[in-house]
Amino acid sequence: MRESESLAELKRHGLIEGETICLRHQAPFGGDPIAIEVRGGLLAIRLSDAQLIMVEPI
Amino acid sequence: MDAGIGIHQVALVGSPNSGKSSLFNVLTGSRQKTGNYSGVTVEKKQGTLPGIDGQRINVFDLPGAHSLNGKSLDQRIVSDLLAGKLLGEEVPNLLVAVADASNLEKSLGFVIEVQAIGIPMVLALNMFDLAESRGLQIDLNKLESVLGCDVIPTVAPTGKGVEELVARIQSRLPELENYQAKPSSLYSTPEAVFSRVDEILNLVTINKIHSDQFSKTLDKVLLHPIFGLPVLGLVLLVMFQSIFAWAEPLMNLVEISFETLGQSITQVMPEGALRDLIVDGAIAGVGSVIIFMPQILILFLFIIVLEESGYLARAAFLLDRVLRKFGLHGRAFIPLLSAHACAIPAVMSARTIENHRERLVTILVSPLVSCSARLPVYALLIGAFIPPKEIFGFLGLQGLVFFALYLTGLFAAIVMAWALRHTVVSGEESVFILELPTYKIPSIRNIAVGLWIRSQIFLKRAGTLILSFSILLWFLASYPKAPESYAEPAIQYSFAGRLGAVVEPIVRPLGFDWRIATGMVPGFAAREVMVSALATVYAIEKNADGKELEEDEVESLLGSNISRDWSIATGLSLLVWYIFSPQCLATVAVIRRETNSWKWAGLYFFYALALAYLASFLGYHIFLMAGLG
Repeated sequence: MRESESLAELKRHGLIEGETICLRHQAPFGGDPIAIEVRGGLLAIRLSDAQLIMVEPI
Repeated sequence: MDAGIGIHQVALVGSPNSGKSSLFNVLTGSRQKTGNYSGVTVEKKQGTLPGIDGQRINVFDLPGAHSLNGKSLDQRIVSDLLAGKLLGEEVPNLLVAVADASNLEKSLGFVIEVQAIGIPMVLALNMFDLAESRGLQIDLNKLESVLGCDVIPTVAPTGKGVEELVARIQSRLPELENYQAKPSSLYSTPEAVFSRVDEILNLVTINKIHSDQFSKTLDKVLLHPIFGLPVLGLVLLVMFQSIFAWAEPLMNLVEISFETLGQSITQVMPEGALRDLIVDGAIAGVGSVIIFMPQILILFLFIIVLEESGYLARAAFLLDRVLRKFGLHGRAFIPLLSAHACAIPAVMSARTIENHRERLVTILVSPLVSCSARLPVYALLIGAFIPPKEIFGFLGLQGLVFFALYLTGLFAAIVMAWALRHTVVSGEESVFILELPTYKIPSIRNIAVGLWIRSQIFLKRAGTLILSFSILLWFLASYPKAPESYAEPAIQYSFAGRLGAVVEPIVRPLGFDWRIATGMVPGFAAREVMVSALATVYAIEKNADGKELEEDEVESLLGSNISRDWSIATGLSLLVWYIFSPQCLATVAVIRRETNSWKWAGLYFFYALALAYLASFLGYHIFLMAGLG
């Protein structure tokens, strides 16, 4: 339930299949949340939500 | 929907970082008023534009939204209103979609989603200068034909393109008397939306935008995993030091003006109850609160600048981990910081938090943060009981204590959040997504409009609530008149003195005397009334003593009066009381409205009251043991 909600919200912010993303910053205290570059903007997300995103290095 | 009445409705839609509000400020100037959408507590900002046919055009600023399918209250308001599902609100005749030209990859998504609803639309490509300076070149004519709507590049801070936008709005309206909105589900999924955006951008882009090097460089420092937090701490420290340092000359000016006013009235008017009412009641009471306006404006100045520059979102990013430990959302930082100005907008800004429980906790704890109305009380007590020493040669001790009070309030808020999240409002955390916009130099106009609106609210409060309480308190403190034979100060014979005497036994364990007790009663309505109440009580008491009353003594000597009459422990205990005590009535009312329940408003009131009593009691006895009695 929570996962599908998170996934929908991530998609609405441009995190959809095929996008190129880039890890830019990690917050103090263990690097959570993180800031990633998506579709030309900077987006902060928590690691627990970031786990829902499948990435492959390019 | 009914355009027949002749007043056209134009609505601005766009994402929170598109500069939509900034454009709205340019369009409507200071001729704007804020209200609520019917049935909900989302703030509705309205203004007007002249139409070509001499009719007024109503312009309103819809809450910022990323998507029509979003879950937050703000986003649901936008989608419901545009779909005609918000009862009591008209569907706008024309939309001005505002998109951040420097981030079209994202901002165009919401634009085409909105356009699919079918309401006629004009697109403002805002911050076009920034986009151009970063190399963006697009074929505007092609964009117009692909989208099928007018596209106008704008630069809100300089007003560039705004005239053209207004002309386009004016000319489009008459032909839109009776349109039929045809809701469509063309772009129901984010995948469909963004692939359409990519398609459009491929067609119209001549030269792609390059990334903002300035923001990248700045973020290397400000979002640094080690240096980020100390920098944030420094920013906040400077902010609180400035409130004391910069405001002083302005405060002196206000003080002199009110003294002069009081003196000239004393000279002109014959002696009697009416003169006492005006000088001791109205002028002493209102003056002792207006004097803090410079400090309040400086506080708002910082908050507006931090928000406009893009740093506030970064602070939420840096602090999310800490806030999450206490069951709060990183976004709660924004209400918690705004609460330093006023709890009411803070409680309202919590609606950007999508999860109901996290929002509720933020609402319940935000009023613990020291708001600007506590400034008069803090400033008076710090001025009276903390010596103006310098530490390390550059930090003022008074400013430091002030900073400590604010930190205590903030700390209490997050600890209380933890307690609430583990008891009455438990539940799992929600998704956390935060946009970090590129850094921008705040526009002077937005700062000016923001400060103007804040001063209006504050002056209105001083002119109505505080003035009436001052007069009421003067009356309660002056009547009934003590008989000649009465040995004690006359005020103890009055209604206020008697009321204070009833409350005094309850607050005596906290170190408070009957004068403080007298001030605390109206202080529940609004904190700053406490100061004017004390000013009134002292002004009247001195009169009754038969001493010749110097006009400047009415207000400026309040500080020296209390430092003479109270022990340091009492002064500090009162400071502690005002960190926690439940206030003001308007805050309780807004909690009731935002949570739609007296239960939560009552919970706030009673937990804060208990906290204040306990902390003051402990504080007083610790200070006594430390030999400050």
